[in-house]
Amino acid sequence: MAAPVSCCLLLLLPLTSSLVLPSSFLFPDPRRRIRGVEAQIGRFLVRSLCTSPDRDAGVLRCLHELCLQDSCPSIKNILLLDSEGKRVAVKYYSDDWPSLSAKLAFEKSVFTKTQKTNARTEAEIVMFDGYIVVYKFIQDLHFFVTGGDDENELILATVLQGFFDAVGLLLRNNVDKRTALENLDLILLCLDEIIDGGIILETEASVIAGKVATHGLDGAASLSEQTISQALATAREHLARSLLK
Amino acid sequence: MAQPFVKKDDDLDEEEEYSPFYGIEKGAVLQEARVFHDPQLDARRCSQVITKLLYLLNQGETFTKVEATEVFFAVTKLFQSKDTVLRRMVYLMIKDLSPSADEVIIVTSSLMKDMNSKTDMYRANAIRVLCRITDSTLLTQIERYLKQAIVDKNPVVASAALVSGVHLLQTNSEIVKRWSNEVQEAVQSRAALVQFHALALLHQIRQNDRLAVSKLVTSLTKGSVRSPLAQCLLIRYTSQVIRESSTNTQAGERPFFDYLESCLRHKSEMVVFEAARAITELSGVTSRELTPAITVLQLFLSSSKPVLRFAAIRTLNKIILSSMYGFNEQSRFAKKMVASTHPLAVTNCNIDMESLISDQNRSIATLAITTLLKTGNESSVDRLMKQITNFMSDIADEFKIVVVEAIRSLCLKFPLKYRSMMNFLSNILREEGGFDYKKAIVDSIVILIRDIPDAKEIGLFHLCEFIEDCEFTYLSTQILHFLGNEGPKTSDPSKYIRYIYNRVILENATVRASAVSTLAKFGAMVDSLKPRIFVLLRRCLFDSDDEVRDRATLYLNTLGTDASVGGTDEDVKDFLFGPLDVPLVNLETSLRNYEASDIPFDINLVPKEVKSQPLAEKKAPGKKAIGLGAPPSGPTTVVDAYEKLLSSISEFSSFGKLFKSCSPMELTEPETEYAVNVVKHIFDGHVVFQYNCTNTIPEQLLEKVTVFVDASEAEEFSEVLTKPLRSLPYDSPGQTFVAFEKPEGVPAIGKFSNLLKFVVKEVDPATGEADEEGVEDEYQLEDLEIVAADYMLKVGVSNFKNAWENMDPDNERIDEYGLGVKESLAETVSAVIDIVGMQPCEGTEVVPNNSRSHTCLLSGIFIGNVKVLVRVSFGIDGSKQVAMKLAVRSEDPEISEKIHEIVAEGKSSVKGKWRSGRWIGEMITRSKLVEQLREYQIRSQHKWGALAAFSPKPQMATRRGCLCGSYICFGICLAHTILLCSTLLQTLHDFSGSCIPWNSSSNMP
Repeated sequence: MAAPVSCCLLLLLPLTSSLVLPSSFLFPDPRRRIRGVEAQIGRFLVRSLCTSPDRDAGVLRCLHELCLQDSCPSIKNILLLDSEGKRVAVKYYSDDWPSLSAKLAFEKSVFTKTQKTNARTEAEIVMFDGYIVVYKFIQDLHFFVTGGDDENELILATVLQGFFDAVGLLLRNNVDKRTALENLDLILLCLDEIIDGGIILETEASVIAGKVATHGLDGAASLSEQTISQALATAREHLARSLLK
Repeated sequence: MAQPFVKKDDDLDEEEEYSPFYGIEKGAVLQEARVFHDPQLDARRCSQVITKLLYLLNQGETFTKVEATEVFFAVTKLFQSKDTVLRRMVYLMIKDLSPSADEVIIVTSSLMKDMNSKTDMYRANAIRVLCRITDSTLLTQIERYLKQAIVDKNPVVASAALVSGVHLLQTNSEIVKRWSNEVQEAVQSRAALVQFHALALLHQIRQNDRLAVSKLVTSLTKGSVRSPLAQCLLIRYTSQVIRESSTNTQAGERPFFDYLESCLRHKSEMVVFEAARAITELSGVTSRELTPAITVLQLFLSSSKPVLRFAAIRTLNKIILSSMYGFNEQSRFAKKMVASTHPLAVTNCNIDMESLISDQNRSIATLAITTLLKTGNESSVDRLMKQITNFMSDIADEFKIVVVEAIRSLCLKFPLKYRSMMNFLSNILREEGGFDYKKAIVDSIVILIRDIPDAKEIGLFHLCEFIEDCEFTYLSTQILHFLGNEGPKTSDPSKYIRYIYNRVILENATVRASAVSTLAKFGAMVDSLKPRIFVLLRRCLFDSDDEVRDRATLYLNTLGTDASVGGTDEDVKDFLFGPLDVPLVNLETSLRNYEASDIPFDINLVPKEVKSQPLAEKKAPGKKAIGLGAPPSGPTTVVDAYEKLLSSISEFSSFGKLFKSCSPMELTEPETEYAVNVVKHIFDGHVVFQYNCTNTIPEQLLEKVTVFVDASEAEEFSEVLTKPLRSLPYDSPGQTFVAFEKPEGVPAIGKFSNLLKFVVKEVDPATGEADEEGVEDEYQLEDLEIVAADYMLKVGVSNFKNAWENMDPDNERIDEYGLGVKESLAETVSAVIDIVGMQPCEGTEVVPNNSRSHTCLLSGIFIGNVKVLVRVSFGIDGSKQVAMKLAVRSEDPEISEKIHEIVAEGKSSVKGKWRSGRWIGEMITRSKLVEQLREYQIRSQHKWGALAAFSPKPQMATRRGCLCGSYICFGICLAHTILLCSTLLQTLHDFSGSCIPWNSSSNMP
């Protein structure tokens, strides 16, 4: 991409507020389109400068996504729902769902589409509305990881597996909705350690669990020097403490 | 909505549904948050409260601005506590509250302290929080620490800094770009994820610099990248580099392809899949390159993991879809142009895919079906149909349509299997479904009946069954019409009569009317049935609907007279079955224009040419400014108007019937003094040029306007008469005509140069009176050409395939052409259509985006009423080389040859087009020239008043004086000549390179 155009684009990005147009509207298949993108970026930038601010934001958002698309695998959201499709913990990393109602609608459709399937032994996958969702169920908890339809499905599955196993470790294999809610702080920290703003931070379950649990430990023992068993011990300790409350 | 639990717990067993957050309320929690202000902090209690707050936020609760600020300030107090759990929750809370800029300052110092703390966890998290909430001024302050953190030996800290860098790059790219040395160092890190994050950041920093990206890829593909995620990234970057380099250099080995291939053997499935996908998405990939990737995907197909199966089948489906575009028929030509071997490669996976049809996961099964229907072979069809039947009930309508269409094409591919497919179609026809779905099924059955003779009886029977219980009037009438055409030709036509007459009894008026027509067709074709049909038709005479009665009467009479007169049997059949060879739009306008008189309406006088409406509309705005001679009230009436106009001129009445009128062609540039355009009227032995002139100068009146035509470059034409225009006042268009004689029926071509001659009289704008005396003057117009396309009438056919097959194959002429490098396929297609001047059929003039090949069907009538059908296949390769295969069938083999000549000569007409394109370029150059002259004038302090001559609308009055002006004119003319020469040379050069007809194997890579 031509440097000046791109710089221009990056300068304008802070102006973006919310996603107005779905990115697929302008770029049906970003991966294929990126070839001749310089001209397009230029054209869209010019156009976005003279149309309504709402549209500007949408167009710029699309360009932003386009730039990210070819580089970094990105996660759109991680959902942990209960057996009725209600939230236990959710985290959204993209602006595809700008409002709470849009988010809830997405959760509802994901839940109804996957409800009847059996995803207890192996992670399952579904594609709809241009998103790929990988999911896995245990007891009364439903784990979902969503990515764009261009994403490598196996990367999403790896993230899901990491999250799933880390929760298992943190809750000492006692994974159900009640325990999850009782240890919501651990779940939230766990989410925080897996993804940062859509970028994968870590996918190894034991490392994630270790990082979350380390916080129970005082002192400056660095994680790299800690073994997994130590991490688990602290996790256990933390758990025992939270159960006592 | 914030308290879903409350609602739920009301009606459920409380014991079972115990939740630590039962009955939670925002107000109460905010009250509880006061513990943050306690001088003696209770760390555990504080973190519980934070968890509650986070829970509320997570459930979609929102805090007001005041509440958020209050909570935020309270939370900042918690930095006093040394408790790590609490600290971690504080970080989360700050991120979720996303404080405003003026609030951020409060926590900055605390976070900066944490960033330099000895605890790695603090450092990592503080970096992430700070980068999330910071702005550019703050960023410059902490930049130093971030740079250090990137190369920190603790991987968590380094990752945190790198990921923050990726986010910051979008807002503060200049700052982040300064870190590239540190990031470069981090790429070499031993920790897997640090490498991944560093690679992502480094690429984003450098993505604008192709060379740098290419270097990055080169260095890393050699070394070992540890993390699978980083490998995936590297594969993406590599394929990006490949794509960019392939557009520049066509020939030779693909760079880095070895790397992609080696990734297929990586131990991580994630990497293997990424590589396989990258290979399948490469442009112009050969089947040899593709095979290893497909083998890998095939292995995935039988994996126990649904995600793997899904990923693999989706990729295979994409390969099929991308290679299915355009034509996959017969021709070696197709194989040469497009790597249509891809489906073959995928076919190897057929058995694995078949087992996926019954996959638990519907997404996988759906993809498997669509892929298989496109790749399936004859032996597997029966099994496939059986499996699909189970599958059809639980998918949505729009997807069912996809399946039906896929089955139709499969059936056409394997005609022997029609029985099972016909059964399948009739089964699904009986099931519930919307109109579009049913229509797709009916269309499919009709097409199968047409193309597979054996399937006719069974197909018609299914359709009869369907109309017995069909809720869609449109479909019923369509089927009845079809039944009328096909039914009488079957072995036992009488069995259909019952179904048809049932319609007359049971259905609404529209269906009844078409049932009557169908009955009549049976009566006309099958003599043995005629008496019985008569009985039925007579009953229809008592129908309550006018149309039904009218039809019954009409058919009774035509069929009845046939019996008595005897000889007109053919006429009756022609009347019943013959297609209406007149476009409906034209018929409608003609009927509207018809004035009741003694002369009966004659359908043969209706013009047969299809006017392409959108084209005319597109041109309209351009013309408006000039004010056309012929009133452009509508595309169809234009033709009519021409015909009326010409027939009103007695001199032209001897020329016979007008064959064609071309659309107007401008002979002047827009906004000149006089606007002239020409319409070519083609007769059998004559050509008439109609010049539509408009005078745009209010101070002038033109008289005795004629066009002097020099036909020295058109040998076969001889001028027979000129009809001058007596006077041409300001802004009221008028016409002058010039007629030429040419050899009868011969598509003679030639070039004519035109000179507008007239007498100018000055007009006083105030009074509107003209001077007595006028001055003779002349005005050079652009040249005009008669090309072969002018002898071609655009006439569409409704069913191209039938029409094509009805033509004698002996009259077919096929040739291939290399057209050289073109911008796009769509542009080439429309250029070729323009050259031959024929009507595109069945919407084939539209080229799907990104398709690499296209087949266009054209039909037309050549002068002498010779029907011509053309089938052009185009293909474009990676380097934008376009090749074309042209197959022409016509009633006369010489005409077929002629069409090829036209296309071969098409060079010249395309050249014309290009030249007109260049004209714009030239005009731009001229305006630049004026600009330069003006600059020169300013610099040299010359007072040249004549520059007005170059303003867009030069005034005639100024043309008289100014000698200086003419000097400049001379200069510009010289410049023009040079420019023109160079453009012509360029054009010639282009063509000698590109349009050499093309021997089968050599030229194309």
